[in-house]
Amino acid sequence: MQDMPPLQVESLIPEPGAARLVMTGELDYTTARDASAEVARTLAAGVDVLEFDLAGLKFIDSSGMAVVMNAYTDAEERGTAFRIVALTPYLRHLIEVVALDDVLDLPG
Amino acid sequence: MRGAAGSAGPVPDLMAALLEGSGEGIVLCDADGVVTLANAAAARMVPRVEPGLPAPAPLDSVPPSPEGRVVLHGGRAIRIRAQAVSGGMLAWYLTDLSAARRTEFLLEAGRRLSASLNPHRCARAAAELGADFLADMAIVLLPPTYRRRIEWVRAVSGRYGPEEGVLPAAEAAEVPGLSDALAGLRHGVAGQQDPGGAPGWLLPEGFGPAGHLLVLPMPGNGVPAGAIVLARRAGRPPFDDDDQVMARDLAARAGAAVSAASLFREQSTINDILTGDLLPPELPEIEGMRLAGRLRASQQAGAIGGDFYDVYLPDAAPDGGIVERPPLVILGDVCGKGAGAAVLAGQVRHSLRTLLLLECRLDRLLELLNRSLIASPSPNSYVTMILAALRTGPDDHVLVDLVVAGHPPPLVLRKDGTVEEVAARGSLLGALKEISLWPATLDLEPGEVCLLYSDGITEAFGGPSGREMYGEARLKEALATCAGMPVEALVERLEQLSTEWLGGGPGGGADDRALLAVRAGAGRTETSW
Amino acid sequence: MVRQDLEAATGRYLNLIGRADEEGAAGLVLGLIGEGVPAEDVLLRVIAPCQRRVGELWASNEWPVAREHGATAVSERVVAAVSGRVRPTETRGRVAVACADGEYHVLPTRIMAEVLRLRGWQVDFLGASVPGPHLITHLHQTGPDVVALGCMLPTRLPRAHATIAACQAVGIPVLAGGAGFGADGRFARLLGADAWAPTADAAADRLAAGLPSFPAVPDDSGDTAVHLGGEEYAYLTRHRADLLARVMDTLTGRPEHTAEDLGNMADFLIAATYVHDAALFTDFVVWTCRVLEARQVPAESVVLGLGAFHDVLTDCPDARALLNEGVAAAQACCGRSARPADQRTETSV
Repeated sequence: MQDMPPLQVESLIPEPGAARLVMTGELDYTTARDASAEVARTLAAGVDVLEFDLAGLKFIDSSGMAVVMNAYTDAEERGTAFRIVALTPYLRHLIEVVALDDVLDLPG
Repeated sequence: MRGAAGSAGPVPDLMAALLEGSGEGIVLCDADGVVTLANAAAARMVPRVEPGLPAPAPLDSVPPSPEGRVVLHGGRAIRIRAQAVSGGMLAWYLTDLSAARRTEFLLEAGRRLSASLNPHRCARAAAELGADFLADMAIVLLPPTYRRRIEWVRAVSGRYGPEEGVLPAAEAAEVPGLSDALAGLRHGVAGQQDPGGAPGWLLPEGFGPAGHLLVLPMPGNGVPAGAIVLARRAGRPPFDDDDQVMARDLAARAGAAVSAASLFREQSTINDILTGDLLPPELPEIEGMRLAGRLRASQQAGAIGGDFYDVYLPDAAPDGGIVERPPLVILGDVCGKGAGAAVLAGQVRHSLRTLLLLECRLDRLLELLNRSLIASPSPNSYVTMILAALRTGPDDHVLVDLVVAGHPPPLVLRKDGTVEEVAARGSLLGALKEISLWPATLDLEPGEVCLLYSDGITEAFGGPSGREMYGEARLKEALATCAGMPVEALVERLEQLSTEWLGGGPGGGADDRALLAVRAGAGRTETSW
Repeated sequence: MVRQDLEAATGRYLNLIGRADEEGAAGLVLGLIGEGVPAEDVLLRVIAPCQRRVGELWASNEWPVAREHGATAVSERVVAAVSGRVRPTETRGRVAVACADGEYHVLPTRIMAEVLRLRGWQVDFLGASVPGPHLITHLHQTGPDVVALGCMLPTRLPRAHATIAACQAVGIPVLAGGAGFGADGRFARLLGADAWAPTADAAADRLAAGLPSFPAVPDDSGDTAVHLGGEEYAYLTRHRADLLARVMDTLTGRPEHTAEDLGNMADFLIAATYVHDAALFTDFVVWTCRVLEARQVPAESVVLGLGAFHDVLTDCPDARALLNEGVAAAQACCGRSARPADQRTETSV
């Protein structure tokens, strides 16, 4: 447990042309840079769909939220679809607080 | 060990080891006055001693006698005793008298001069070291300020506490060598001066006439760090070589300490100026209500961070083009931590101040702010915030117009102790070109409180398990216990509860935390007791 | 002004702060000063005793916590008003006054700061719960002659110790004050403070007598600092959360044991382990029993809570010994509570 990095990002290909980043652990001030780099790499590879699986996030702060929002705006600029396929109840609450629930594609 | 093979025969290993281990210097020479043996301690005290060569000074000047003689050599006081041994050979025993005092001086100088990053404390430590170890009086003078004044610290042996003062720079010239030392034009001892000309300001009252003065520059980081003057009373021995070595050492260490401290002071002054604008403002008195705020930055040494609040009072004399409006309070949180976040928070506060000259509609203000954040070249310019315009209503009520941008909505403490969450929400700023806002207006009766807070309060991790989030439910519960409290006590209590929740940890992991409360009604508290 | 008048004023002041009447309280106090009562007397003979009384009124459940906090907040503003009214000239050195890290009981320390100011010191008051790095930064920036550190609760002692050592390491001596250092100041000496004072005026007298301009070398060979803390302290501090969770588990179904109370119990136990002082813990236990009794919670519940800690801490013989002493003290309270309050006798522990 102590030896695990605070954030792990796993990259999956759920279907051709799509990429899914599964984030586990803490997405915060200290780990946001790594996560952003992974997002940038994925988008640069030229996918049609970018998916986030955030159900394994134990903690997220404003820097972590910034990763999600940057992914959304960067994907939109490239014409890549962006959606969150899984998230925790608390994260959903946070997305509602910042009023992005109408904008982001969230699981039903 | 230096030994000349053949002249006195080989020394057995054990003997050699014993001699070498001795702290006392031992030198042996034959009947012709040629050194046959010198141990390590002797070589340290008299480096020129060399087996096979005649005994060097100062050994040659010490005749055999049981009590020996103290000589000054190479900056040390050495007691040398010569004794005839068998076969016309002569042995010298050398004791370094300076060692104990010097060791103590080095330890103390290291301890005291490395402690502080405050130039005055360093100067004070240097003066005290001078008076403790070297002289009857030591005065440290710092380089002249731009007003041509010199700050000084003076210590006198046996007197409690140093004195401090300021001197016109011109008067330094009254001590020969001092002006040069302060200007960095001298190295080493700037002068062992005839004290006849010592000016009145140099010596403390009741000190009596000085017999000996020593003036030394304190070298700094390429620029002089000041000077030190040591004085001994008339009738005391003059500063010998050994004293001068120690004095130079003191001046060098003091110079290094003072210049490091001056650098720190300069940088922390710049830091204070740059961060001054980023600190929360004093909360003003607003008629008909009372404000209280608390801000805790997560960063250990700094007081700044990504949480902020501010108050914008109406323009005192609005004229053409400047809009009239009620007082406005804001509380917000920018993405990130530390200085970077604080800079963005400062920009947001300044932008709002400017925008408020021309615009008073709260939703419009946030739209403009959003556009400016999106246009910002720096990444992660995301901000969540609340704007609250405070209007006084009839019967001492306060009406609060609220817009919330991606921020936890404010809480309201009603008169009966119930706590409500305000139904206002909206998008955070800096992310979307179009933001959506659902504003609300609150009606506060006298004694009722509207509380704005940042998520650092509710997202504090701790509690009995150490892993639990403080959460909105606990904050509401805590707020409910504050019914009837003055608003300062209320925010203090809430901050205290959240700090206690964070537990005994060092606080390094804590987020920035901000609280701002508005209580309707003037000074006197309406209580139910 | 004669003594009786001041006593009457004290009664009026308590009444006013009890109603959170800031205007009235400030008016009364500034009026006294206007009549020629020395500001120091107003601080030490009106405000300070009332504030002690406020604490007692809360402990005996006569005042709810909100009223206690309200009264304290008013006193804080009154002290600030006194500070604004009386402006002595600075004839002495500079003092940094701060509350220990985690210490929020700011008023006694604030009063000490004001008394020092009235006695001619240049005072920087840094406020409640000052983290070590903030304090040290301030010391480097301003270079005061001394730090006066206030600590009201002994649970802050471990952090106060770190702060004292840090101040001394940058060459500034520390005067310790406040109930947290023990009624006799024994913890101030134990933590290596350069001086201790039980009251604000004693602190002023002590500073006037002079402190060393540089703290002495810590005496590592002595019997002080080396023995502070230890293995059990480290264990309890590190596992505080787990221990509390386990204690709460064993006490499920006993609603009188709030997480806050048990957390306090753990913190006092940890502090007592740090300074190796049983009286620190038993004093807390007796006080808790009294507070709970005033709220119709029998002292038996304290015995039960201590027992739960005892059961959980199988590997901590020192802490268990402390808990045993605590149980004995609490049991003495159980017996006592049956008797009328005014017949209570002090139990020596």
